[in-house]
Amino acid sequence: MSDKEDKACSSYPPWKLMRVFLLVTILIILGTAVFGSTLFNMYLYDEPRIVAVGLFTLIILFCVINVGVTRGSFLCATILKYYALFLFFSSLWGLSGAENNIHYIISFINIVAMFGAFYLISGKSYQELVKYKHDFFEDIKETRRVIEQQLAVSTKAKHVGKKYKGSE
Amino acid sequence: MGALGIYSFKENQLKSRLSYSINQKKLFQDIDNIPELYGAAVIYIDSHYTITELRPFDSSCRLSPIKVVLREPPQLLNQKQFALHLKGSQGNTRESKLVGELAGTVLSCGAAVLGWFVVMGSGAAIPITGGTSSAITYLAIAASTASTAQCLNGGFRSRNEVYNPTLNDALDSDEWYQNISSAVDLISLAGAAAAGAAALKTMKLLMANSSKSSLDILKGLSRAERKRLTEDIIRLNHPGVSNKILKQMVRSGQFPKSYSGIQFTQALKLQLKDAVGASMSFTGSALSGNVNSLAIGIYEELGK
Repeated sequence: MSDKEDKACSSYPPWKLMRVFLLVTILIILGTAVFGSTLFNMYLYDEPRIVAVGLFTLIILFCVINVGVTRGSFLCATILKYYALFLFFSSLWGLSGAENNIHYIISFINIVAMFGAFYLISGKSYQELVKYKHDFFEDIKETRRVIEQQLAVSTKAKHVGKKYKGSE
Repeated sequence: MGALGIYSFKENQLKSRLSYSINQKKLFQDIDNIPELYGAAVIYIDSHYTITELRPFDSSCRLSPIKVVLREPPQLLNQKQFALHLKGSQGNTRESKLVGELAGTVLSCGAAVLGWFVVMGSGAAIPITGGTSSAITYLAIAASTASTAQCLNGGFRSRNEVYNPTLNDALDSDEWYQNISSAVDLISLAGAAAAGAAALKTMKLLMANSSKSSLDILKGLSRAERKRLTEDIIRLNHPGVSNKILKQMVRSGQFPKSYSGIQFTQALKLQLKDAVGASMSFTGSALSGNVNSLAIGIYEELGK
């Protein structure tokens, strides 16, 4: 089998799409971190426990949704898009807490990053990746169903054969 | 016992030297004249790092102990260098903490990227170890989640360190936060162990089907070896399948006659990335997370 044929049958998502997915994942993780820190710094400085539990719960939810995206769920991709939009607005709000130049630079980078995440999720590449994974898992489901059918038929034939031999 | 004896000899020697080189009575009086330092313990450290207590703390005036530490410059440093060293080490404590947090964040986020790469591709890899339905895949997802949590924690702590470092101190003193960090580290470790086990299992399976060494296997397999391995993989995923059915499945095109070299390399690469990702998240944790409290030496090494 040539390399060309190998690539044609390879079901791994193209690197161009993967890059977008990984970039969005990291941007959203860091955006969530900045959002948590802003909240902690401005309102919840007396409640480190609430912040810790809240952040870890949020990240578990994010991971569940992101796994959904890796399994081709359009719904999860839409949820992630609106979450990125929420982080974008929260980063604008975080700008009000900036006190010096470093704070302003960090806030500005965060605003750009969150808008970037929202733009990327809405973009063609990300949606293409979700569709790619969606089709891929649909194919797997179909193949499994066919294999199970074949196995059931073979087992039944074997069973009938044995029964027939036994009656002789 | 001998070392202790030598130390107490050095301490006594220091005490006797100080008894005639410092007017201790006047020193204690001067200290007591400062209301905030009244009754403070006085500790002396010489250039050889011998420590002696000149006066214990007097608890009659205040509840919380207070100590005045007098330290000679170490032998290798002159006064000026020592002053600079003290100034620098005090000023840089937070800065080095920020560097540590950032380094931990970069490692954890790198591990998270690799983890998500593996999760994304796990469905596409050849099901050598049982495919998407195996426990290993779920462990890979759990390990990616743990790396993601560590990445988030690193970013969160780094921003706190820039905006308000006392927030991190508050977090470090919170029991819940410590427990959650421990849980995340444990999941990460479990992921690392699972990734290693999966990689070993794969290599074992590959070596059983080939006379080649592990290094040669990574370079590539021959067509016959790939065919034999493909049959083994089908049997592994469908236990009890007979040779006849297996051939029928291959003939009907449900399974390939042999997986391609690229597919094998892809599966191996995924497992290696998983293993590297898991070990990176552990290193990230060692730098900024919970494992830090067990390996203080690591932080000191980086500080140098």
